[in-house]
Amino acid sequence: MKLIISFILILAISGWGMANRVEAVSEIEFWTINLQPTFNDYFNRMIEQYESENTGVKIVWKDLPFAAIQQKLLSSMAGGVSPDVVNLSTEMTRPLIEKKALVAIDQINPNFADTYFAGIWQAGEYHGHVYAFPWYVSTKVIMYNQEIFAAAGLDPEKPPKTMDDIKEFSRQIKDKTGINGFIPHIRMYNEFVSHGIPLFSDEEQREVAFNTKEAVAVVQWYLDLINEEIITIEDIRGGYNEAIQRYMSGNLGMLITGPQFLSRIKTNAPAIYENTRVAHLPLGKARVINAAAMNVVIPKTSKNPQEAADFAYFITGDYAQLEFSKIVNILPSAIKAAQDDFFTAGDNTPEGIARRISAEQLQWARDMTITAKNSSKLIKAIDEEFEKAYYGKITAEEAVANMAGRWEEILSK
Amino acid sequence: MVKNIKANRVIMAYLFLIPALVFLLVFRFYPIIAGMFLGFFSYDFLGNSTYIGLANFQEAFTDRKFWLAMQHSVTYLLVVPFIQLLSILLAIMVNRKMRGGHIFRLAYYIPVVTSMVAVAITWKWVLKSNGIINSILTNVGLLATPIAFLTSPELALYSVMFVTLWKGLGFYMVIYLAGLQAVPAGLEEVARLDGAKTWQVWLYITIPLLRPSILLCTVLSAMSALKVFDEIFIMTGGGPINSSLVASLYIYQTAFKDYRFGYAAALGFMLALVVGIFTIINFKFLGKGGANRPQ
Repeated sequence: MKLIISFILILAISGWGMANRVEAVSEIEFWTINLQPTFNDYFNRMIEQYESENTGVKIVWKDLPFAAIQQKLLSSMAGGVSPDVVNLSTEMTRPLIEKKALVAIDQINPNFADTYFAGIWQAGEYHGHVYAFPWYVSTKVIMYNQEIFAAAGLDPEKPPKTMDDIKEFSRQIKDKTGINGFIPHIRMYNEFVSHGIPLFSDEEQREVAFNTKEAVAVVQWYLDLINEEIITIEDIRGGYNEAIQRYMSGNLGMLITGPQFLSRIKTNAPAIYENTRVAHLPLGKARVINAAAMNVVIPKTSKNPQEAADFAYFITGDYAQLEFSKIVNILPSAIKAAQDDFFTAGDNTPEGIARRISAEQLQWARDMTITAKNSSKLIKAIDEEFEKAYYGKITAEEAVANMAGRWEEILSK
Repeated sequence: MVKNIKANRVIMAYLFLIPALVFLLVFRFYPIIAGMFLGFFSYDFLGNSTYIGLANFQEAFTDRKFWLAMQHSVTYLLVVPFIQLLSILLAIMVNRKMRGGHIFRLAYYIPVVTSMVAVAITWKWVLKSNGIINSILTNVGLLATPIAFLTSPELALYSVMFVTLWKGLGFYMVIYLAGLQAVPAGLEEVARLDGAKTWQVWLYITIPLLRPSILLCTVLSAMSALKVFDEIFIMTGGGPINSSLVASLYIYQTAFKDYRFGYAAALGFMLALVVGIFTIINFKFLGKGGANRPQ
């Protein structure tokens, strides 16, 4: 009798255990930036595919505005209810890495690294570990309105080849048509690196190296744009959005931005899109180009870091990135995806040309985000001193000296 | 029996109060008290906190940027007299019996119920160098070059203050309107019969009787001015060259950009102190509230 009861109990317990296993579902909360509703079909397809290949895992996808994601993420982490997989720019990722708020993904699987371009993978490195899966990247191209070029007496067949060309073309466009030639989006530390001016003199990134005449010349080049009335202070402060809005309304000759913005132009301003041509972005002395990368990270407060890393690897892997690149003009950070014929055999539409150019430029690409400690403070110091310079409060020399001085102070802490 | 009824009424009163009290405790008092304590810690948002005593407060006293932001917040108080004066005038105007008066009341109140984000974005467009104001002024020849309302370090703060004033006007107008409608009509009539002119009736009868409303509105608008955030965040981001950086924006940046939550809590506590001081000053100057009100 005892045996029968024991047998029934064992059966009951194992049955209960099995029922529990069937019901056990790991829920992975996945946050992206500004991707809904445009890419709903793509993400729903990818999520469905992942869930069918990984039974027991449920992906909950949420999309947040760029301006809100950082604050929401911090609040959720402080409250212990953070998402598991989060899309962040490299600039947003760095302070979180410094605060030890992210999972070191190379500790989960050291082989993840083999999938991605080394230069982009390393942007997520800090003190010997890597904390971010690289996702899509883009290198800037020049889009220009050939009608405006013609009206300004410029040959649309001959796009600018150097930054000085861009300046001269802009001057001519402004003189002849009264509208802006271009609106730069200036990250002065990127400009320094593009011009071959190193930010640090040591590998540990403790010694500042950019307090040079060359750096002063770079700052002065931009100040001259204002002094010579090629652009206004309001243009500089407007940034990307201002430039894209003006380009789409036919009030800007050249737009320097990532090729993914072409789809926005195509949808919102089809007539401008028809008039758009695309050219390579002139390279500076260092012959490097900034590859603005998006990352996917796993907060340390994730309750399922293993599953989260697996999904993050899937969404940033060769297959998913290639599929994503086919619907929006971005480049994959995954090596095999980037080798696909799709990137070399584009059609002759502005989007096709932009894709080819952007892919060609990948060879010079480098994520120029500052990786030193207190990166956000370093960036703020540069921005503030440059701002003082373009308001005429200080000279280019003083601006560079102040930038270097403030960096030394921040780095010494 | 009577005692029982009385006790029941007291219990009922507390039962009705409890839900609101719980809500206040959880969502108001607890965060305020926890925030005050956080000011004494170095906190990294992952739950790790270290007690550092008064270090955050000491740092705040030598933080030049914080005091610059605080100075701008105090400058923002300039909105208060203008908004009060204009809303009293508006209230007096719409209080008159006239055809379609309710349309004006509605029109003045619409900005109050409009989201600050929408208002700030709209005004940002309006105030741009190629925005509607500059375009009109340059086209009619009143301006040779557009005014950099939001990109001039000298003008940016005042331009945003104007938007705050524009949006808040209707809110205070409604409070004053309620105050005006409570002013006994007989008093004004008697004053007129005694030969008082319209401005004398306003100055010696209407305005003094509005004193409780003036106190309420001044305190509310002063507190709002010192804590201003949304319009600054959207329209200028504190720039250019920190010329419109106000205390709450600096506190936000300290917490969510520099990840210094303990220090931000200390700064928040100091801002709350300043708001408290200004509120006490308001009560001192405009005090007595409804003491002069005829019974």
